[in-house]
Amino acid sequence: MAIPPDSSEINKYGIYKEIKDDAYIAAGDMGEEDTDMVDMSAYLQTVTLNSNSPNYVTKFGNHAGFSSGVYDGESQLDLSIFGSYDDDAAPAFANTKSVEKSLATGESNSITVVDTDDTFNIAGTDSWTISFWVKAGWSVNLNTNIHFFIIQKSGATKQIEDMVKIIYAENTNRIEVRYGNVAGSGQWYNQGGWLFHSQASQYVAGYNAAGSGSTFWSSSNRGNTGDDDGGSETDYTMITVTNDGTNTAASLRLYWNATGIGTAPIQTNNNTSGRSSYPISSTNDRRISIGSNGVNSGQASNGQQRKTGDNSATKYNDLTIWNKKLSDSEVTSLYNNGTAIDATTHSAQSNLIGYWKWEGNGNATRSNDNFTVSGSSSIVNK
Amino acid sequence: MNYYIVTAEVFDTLNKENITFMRKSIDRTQRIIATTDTVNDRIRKFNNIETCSNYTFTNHSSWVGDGTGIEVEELEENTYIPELDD
Repeated sequence: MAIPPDSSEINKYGIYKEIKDDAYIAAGDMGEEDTDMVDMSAYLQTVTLNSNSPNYVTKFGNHAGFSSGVYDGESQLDLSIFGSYDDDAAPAFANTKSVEKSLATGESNSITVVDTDDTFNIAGTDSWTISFWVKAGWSVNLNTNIHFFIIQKSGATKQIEDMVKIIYAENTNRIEVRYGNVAGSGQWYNQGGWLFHSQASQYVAGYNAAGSGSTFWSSSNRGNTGDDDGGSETDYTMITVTNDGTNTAASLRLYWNATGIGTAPIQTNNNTSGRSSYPISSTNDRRISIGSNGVNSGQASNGQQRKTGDNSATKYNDLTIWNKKLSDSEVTSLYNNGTAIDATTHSAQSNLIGYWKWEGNGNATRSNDNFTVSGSSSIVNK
Repeated sequence: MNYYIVTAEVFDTLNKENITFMRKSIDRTQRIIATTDTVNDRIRKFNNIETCSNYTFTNHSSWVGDGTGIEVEELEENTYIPELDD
């Protein structure tokens, strides 16, 4: 048996390639046809080097000769198991917490942060991606909107001031994404809507991706969920919205987990009749809120009521904001088969401008903007 | 824009193309609507969007499941699509 390559120089796929190398095979006195039956004992250390990979145990743990992903040093192996192993997969991280928000809106029970350095002044003319994991906590009779995410002008009295928001409208079973601004006494916005309960041709992608059937998305029907911690919990869905910067409703795309649903089958472009003269500001400070409309609860100065509801809690986790439109493959790698990765190791990490893991607090892993979690909102076990 | 509460039966007779917002009551027997048409056969008429919103906060048990109401922004933003939402 030849001396194997230095384990620090190759990965598992490298082993496979190295064994197929003619010189090594010759030294090992084996023919090409024998490459699927090799004594792997010399590679034991190499195989265990990368056990931080989230796919490691999953990939090797159930194969003969491995126990919990560690090679027993004796068994003969089918080398094809190495062929598709992603040795470059991002390391997993301790992902045991999330942030919980009741359906109450407003500031007193909020998850919010004010950005003062223009990091998050995203607009319709910018390319961006917003992604987060959510565990549905609402009931089927909620009959109103859940505000997943909103960026708006700091101090806004109306939601739509310099706004980008992602909501779930429970009464219509749609995710709606809207960005826009106030326009005099009116408003300017673009909006895309995706629904999940119709199998009509324009909606079937959403139907299949969500997997919730004809029943609306809720805590009792979470549809296709991922596994946000690599463990047994499978209640979270990764929602991702991308924008390509063309400043129309058609610029928005939605992903359910890693499944692209595409552009919105319901589109509203309200930038006509002179309203296009109200672009989203690139300089106004922004406030970001999770699970809230971002404006004050109670009665506003103009007499309008704001939501102060109290219903089943919804959990959010691993919020990322990117200053580019992530590609399908980049969303797929972010989803990582349902095991949330450390996004700072993602291939597009140089475009990652905001990242919050909610592991014990609202502090940012990327950016200098830490969320404040107050009132009935709290960091909880997933 | 005009804001009304109408019965489900009356709602079915209205011109849907002129309706921009519709929300069913929790028991599905009534509809809150925003329409450019004038509706005479109605349960309630609101003077403006704020009074409509505030009414739902006061009478939330009929309209939303979280003890709140329908915010002005919701009345402005939620797009009604007849073939999906009826």
